[in-house]
Amino acid sequence: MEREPGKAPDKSKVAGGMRRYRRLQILVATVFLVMFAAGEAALLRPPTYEVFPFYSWSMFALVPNKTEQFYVFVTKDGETREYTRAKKWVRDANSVVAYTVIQQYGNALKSGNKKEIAKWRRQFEENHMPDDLGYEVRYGNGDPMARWQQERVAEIPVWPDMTVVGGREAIP
Amino acid sequence: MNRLATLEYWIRRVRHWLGPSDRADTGAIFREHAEAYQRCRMLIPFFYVILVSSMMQAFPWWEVYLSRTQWTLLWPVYWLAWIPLSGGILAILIFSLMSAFAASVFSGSRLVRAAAFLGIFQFAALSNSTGKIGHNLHVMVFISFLLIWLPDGWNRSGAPRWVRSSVYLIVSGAQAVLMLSYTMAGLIKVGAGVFQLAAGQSSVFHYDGLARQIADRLLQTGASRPLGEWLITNPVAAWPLMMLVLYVELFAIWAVFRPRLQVFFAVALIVFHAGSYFTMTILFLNHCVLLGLLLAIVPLGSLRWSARGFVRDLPVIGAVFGRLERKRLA
Repeated sequence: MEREPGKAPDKSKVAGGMRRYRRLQILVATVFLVMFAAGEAALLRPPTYEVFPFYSWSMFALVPNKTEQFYVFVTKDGETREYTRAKKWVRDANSVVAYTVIQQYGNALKSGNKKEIAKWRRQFEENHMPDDLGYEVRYGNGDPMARWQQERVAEIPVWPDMTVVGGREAIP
Repeated sequence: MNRLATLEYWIRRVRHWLGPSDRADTGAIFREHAEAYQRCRMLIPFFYVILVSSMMQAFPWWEVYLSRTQWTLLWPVYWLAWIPLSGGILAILIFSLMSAFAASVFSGSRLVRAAAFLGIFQFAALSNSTGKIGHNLHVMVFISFLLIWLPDGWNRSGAPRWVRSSVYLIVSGAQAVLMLSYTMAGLIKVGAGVFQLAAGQSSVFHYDGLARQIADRLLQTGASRPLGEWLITNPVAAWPLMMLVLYVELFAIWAVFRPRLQVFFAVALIVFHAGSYFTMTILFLNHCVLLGLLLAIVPLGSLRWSARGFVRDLPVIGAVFGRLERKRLA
């Protein structure tokens, strides 16, 4: 409330207000420190390196030198296309969510963990893959700059050199 | 109480260390707080309007969310596993939207602000339970949490000084949370860069560091970005951009304590986000709006702007400039 002109402020109210202000200072500093410390601690928790909503903000920190990647190759009527180039057949061709799920699915297939395979297969097939398409998960690695030259500039198909790790077994 | 005093002492020390090159007197600081308080009174309801708009951006996804049966539920929404899924999802979507809307109108009520925090917290957890965690909403969650603690009567005219100072403090805290996300990103980039340098690998410091990141990202999603593709084939042009990004990210937190830097850092970071979209398809829309609102439109502090003061306030560059200036005068 606004104080009347000429009237001195109530000292106990001022002291109470300052106490509350100091408590707020501590709260703000604590939120700040917890966000930092818990975010950095989440780096110890692979594969997401995150305990929502605490995150280390480690986006694009490591420069890819030799990267490992799982690809999905989709088949329809005898024609095979890499997932990101199958926009006509799949809704999420360029989605980073679909990409992340494919990587998790691929990692599970490679490790042979049946529970993880079932989990990520359900995620992938029910959310990102139409029922009428066959698909195969393949594994490849390489330098991104070299891969860029091969895949995007020269447009040389990369999949014949890749190892098959799983799929719906519809690719001939 | 002793520990509390020690903590306060350290908060003051850190603030002093991060503060501007020239200090305002106490009277100026109080005048500064009074002016900033008026801006904050308008800013806070506007934050909730942004929250509403974030929820509305998700409208096209409502149908997808409601029909989806496979989720990788994050812990805040794990309760959905025990109730009919689509009902629970609908409840989150409606509650988060309505609570944000209510907070934009009744931002004076702590209960409504707490509901808005719960709403965004649940909504962010739900929208990140798809197998991939995005980071566009994280800072909104933290800022909503801070705003719960605004003192009662914060938006009434003639609020006492401690209330005005508290509002100023909370909004500075919101700025700090936002800028901390960038400083953390910068710190880890530098750390990882040093690690990769030591391992003899290409790192963020190499001429092709950014070009590699762009190539890898565009290969992952199969997306096409003419600017990104040009930078991949001309990696040397990307190098200075990467160095600028490193500088602005790493020292972002300084801008909270040095008001003269706020507009510059906000604009630089918005340009960085625009660049990320045009090269790698990554868009942090909420961050851009918050940078604009919290730092570019409503910078806190009223230190008079001058080119010399601005350069002096720039981390590292300012220290070098100050040393050169002292040498010239000596």
